[in-house]
Amino acid sequence: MSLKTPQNIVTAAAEWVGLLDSTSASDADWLACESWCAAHPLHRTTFEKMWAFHDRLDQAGPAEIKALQSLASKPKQDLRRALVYGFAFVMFAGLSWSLLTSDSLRDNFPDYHTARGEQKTVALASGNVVILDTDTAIRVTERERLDTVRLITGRLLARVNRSPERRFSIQSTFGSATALGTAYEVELTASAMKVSVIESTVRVCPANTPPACETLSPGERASVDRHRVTRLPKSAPATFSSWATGWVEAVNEDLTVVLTELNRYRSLPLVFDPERLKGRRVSGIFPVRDQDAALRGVVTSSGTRLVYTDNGTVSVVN
Amino acid sequence: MKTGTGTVEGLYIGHGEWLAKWLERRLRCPDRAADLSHDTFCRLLERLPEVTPASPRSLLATIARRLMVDDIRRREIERSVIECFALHNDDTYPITPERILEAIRFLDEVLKVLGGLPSITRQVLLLRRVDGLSQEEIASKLNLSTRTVRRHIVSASVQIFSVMAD
Repeated sequence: MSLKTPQNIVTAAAEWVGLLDSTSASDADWLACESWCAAHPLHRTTFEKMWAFHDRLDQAGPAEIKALQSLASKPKQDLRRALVYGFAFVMFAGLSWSLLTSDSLRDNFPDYHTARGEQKTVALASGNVVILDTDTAIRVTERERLDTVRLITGRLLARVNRSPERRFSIQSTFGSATALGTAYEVELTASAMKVSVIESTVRVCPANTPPACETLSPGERASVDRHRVTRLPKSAPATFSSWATGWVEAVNEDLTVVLTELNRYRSLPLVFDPERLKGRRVSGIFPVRDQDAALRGVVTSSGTRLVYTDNGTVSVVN
Repeated sequence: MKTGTGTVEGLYIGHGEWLAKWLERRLRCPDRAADLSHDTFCRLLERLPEVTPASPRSLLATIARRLMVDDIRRREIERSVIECFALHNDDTYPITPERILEAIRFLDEVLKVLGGLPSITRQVLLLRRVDGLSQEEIASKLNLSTRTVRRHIVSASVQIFSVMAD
């Protein structure tokens, strides 16, 4: 393990970075910095470590920048600090119940989750079944008369036993979808919760405006954000949740939508240019567990082709 | 009493199984629990405590909890990187598993740096490095003096070093 670098060296190196990063840095400044670096090996390594980081950030590609912007724009969550403060609150104030029941904290510790490409069936004690799609996380609370599933991320299909004695509800940041004996799919996106009903009826409610609840019947779909329920075009119930049987189904669907769906299951994503593939449609049933077969089917149906590279990347092109 | 690898071995024999079960109860995934349990002992070997811990299980649980939080954050980064790489591919640098892994590591570091900065310093760093504005342009945009902008770059650099040395 390396020895800790003295703080005065760290500060001096940072001052050099700040100066040389500006357009006002002169040749003399660069030479002075070089003399400082030459004075001690720790000077040079400290300065170069900082400089290399700034340099690497300057050279980040568009995908890295996009990922960084999306991650950096999320609300700041210092989980470690939150845990420490939460614990202190319990110990010394005894008023931590609201914190411990806060969803934003507890959502970091899902009861069940799936990795990319994985699907999982969770059977609850009540006999209700929840099927998790790829990259999905949930928390489950089972009470005597109510099963509550909190969808943290991803997509699930719920198959609920018909029982007037026992309710079943799926909740998310955006709202809730409650059923008595039904099958329905719930998907969480960045801006809304999408509910598609396969059997019976489901009551959907926005989180902040409960009076704006709506009841959905088989084939009906809705997008729920914090304030309202927006009904989406109806579809045949049989077309919902084909993913739960291991298939992606498309009927004259936009090719980029199907490729994005297949990417949910792939650790190395398919590469495609949405602009160039605009207008391409695809129909068929494609197996998510056999990506090669799925891809062959998609390109045949859409009239596109695959380009393989030596490093394993697969691109879909016209 | 000083501790050492022998003590870690003792901790592994005495509490390894308990830790794996403790993690499995929280993660509901035996494979991930086994991985994190293994990582916990690796972390302990990397940074041996000065003295034998009075309560070994508390120590192990604390390390494991921190690793769990890191793991959750990393998965989020991974998800975002994969999505963005799929949509922003350029032919010059084709996507490879190594490139994705490198991007995840890099963004993990960048987010650690950003997470430790006050919001104004964070904003200055992003404007300078991501948006490519000069210190003078940032000063004008944020209504600050150029000297103040430079001071933010300096304190960001100190934070960068502290994250990289960690």
